Amino acid sequence: MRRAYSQIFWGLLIDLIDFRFNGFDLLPDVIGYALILAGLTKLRPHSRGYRIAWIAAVVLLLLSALQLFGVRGEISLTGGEGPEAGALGLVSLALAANMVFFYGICDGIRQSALERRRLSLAGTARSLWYWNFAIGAMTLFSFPFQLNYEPGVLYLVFLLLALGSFMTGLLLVLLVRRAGRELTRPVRRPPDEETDGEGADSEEPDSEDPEGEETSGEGADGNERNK
Amino acid sequence: MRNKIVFIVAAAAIAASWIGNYAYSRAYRLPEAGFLRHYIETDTVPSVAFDLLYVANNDDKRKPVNVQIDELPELRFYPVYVHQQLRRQTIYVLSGYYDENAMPERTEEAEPLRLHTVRVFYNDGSVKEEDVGEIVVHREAWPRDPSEESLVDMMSAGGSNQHDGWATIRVKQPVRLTGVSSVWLEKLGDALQFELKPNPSAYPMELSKGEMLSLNYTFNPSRQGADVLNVYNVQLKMNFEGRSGEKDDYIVFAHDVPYPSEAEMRAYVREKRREAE
Repeated sequence: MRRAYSQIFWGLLIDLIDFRFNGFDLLPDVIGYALILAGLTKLRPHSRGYRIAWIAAVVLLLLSALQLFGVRGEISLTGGEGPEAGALGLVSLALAANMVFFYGICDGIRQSALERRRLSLAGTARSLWYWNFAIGAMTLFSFPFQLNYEPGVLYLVFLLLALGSFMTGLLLVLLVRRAGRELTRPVRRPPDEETDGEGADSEEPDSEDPEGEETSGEGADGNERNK
Repeated sequence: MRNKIVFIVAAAAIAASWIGNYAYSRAYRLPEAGFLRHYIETDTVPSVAFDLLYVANNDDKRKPVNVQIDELPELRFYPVYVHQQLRRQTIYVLSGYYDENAMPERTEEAEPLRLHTVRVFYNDGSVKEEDVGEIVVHREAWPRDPSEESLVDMMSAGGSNQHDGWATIRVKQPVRLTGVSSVWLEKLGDALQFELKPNPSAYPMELSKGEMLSLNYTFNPSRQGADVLNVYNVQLKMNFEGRSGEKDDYIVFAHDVPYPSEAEMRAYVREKRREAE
């Protein structure tokens, strides 16, 4: 399990950061997605979220592989030219797949965390998904305006969205690292307190999780399954 | 439940944005790239001939690289260059000139040619006869008679991008101005207006040696639709007659090359799309 999270962590890091030398990507995204897939293959049986993330990662792997064959999978915000509808569609498809992937990872971590009563981790995973959804939805909404408006008009909007997207990507890397630490510890249950995992958050669910009642219920379900 | 509503609203907004923007961008795509409508009058003398303007969608890969006219073997074109780039369309220019080394000998002036199509060579290797409007070619005798002397001197000439221009001449000897002519005057109607200074009350107008005469022309700026992008290369000929009856036409080159705004280009595209339907 720990190795799986580690693979996802490194895969996400490779995909997040581009090292280019004379235009050549030293760490192509396809390597990152291959690592992520390897990690998700191990985690897939444990949560529906990881299964969703696995499917999205396959799509992203294929899209990043297309880039190796010269298919343009990115849009320059500073190039001064409006993008073609095809390139815009491809980038948007990758963005949508990335949102699904993000949801899958966050949901998988959240479910696993709830099962172990790691309520703080579960809350962080859910908040991060909300942020990613908000930024991704705004980007997908504003992307097609490039077909009709000068890049200069939209430049600031896309710059802020790109920055937000990078930040959520970075936070996801950190979340996976944290999940690798917290969710791979063995769960020890004192005989008199079967529902508390070792090292579980001491706060009540309502005080930690933004979901309130719903999370409490899910947390309880998770503990039931742990019995 | 609240989450579902948020996702549905977001998905609907994204879908509406895509559908709306894509439909809007398609509505302002040229159905087919092509040459603008030209009104050209030209003389086959070694110098600049005329420009042909071609408009295409920005993402069109096919561009013209050369033009040939069988009837004018001396006509050559410089490599294509961008005249104006707009949000969705680009206007290219092919500048033509008459190559002195390729000029055919002509003992006397031939009948003017009227051309509507030219053979265009594209960068993808294709060749097509394209409609360019109308080109009237005056085929003068070549080589020119060196003993011919002009009755007037050019003092100044110029034009602006506000659809107007002028020329001022000085008369070298007493002459009569019998009129101002062009093959396009009747056809263009209100699209081209000119004024002489001093304004003749009637033709012929007697001019004494050293007298100055100006001609100002204006292309109607309130053209609508596709006409906004018309290209005019008109020769306004000031017809002079000397004392001994010799004739001399002083040519004022009245050019109007379009620099359309985004709104004007959209109107042009709308009209082209209507024509294509």
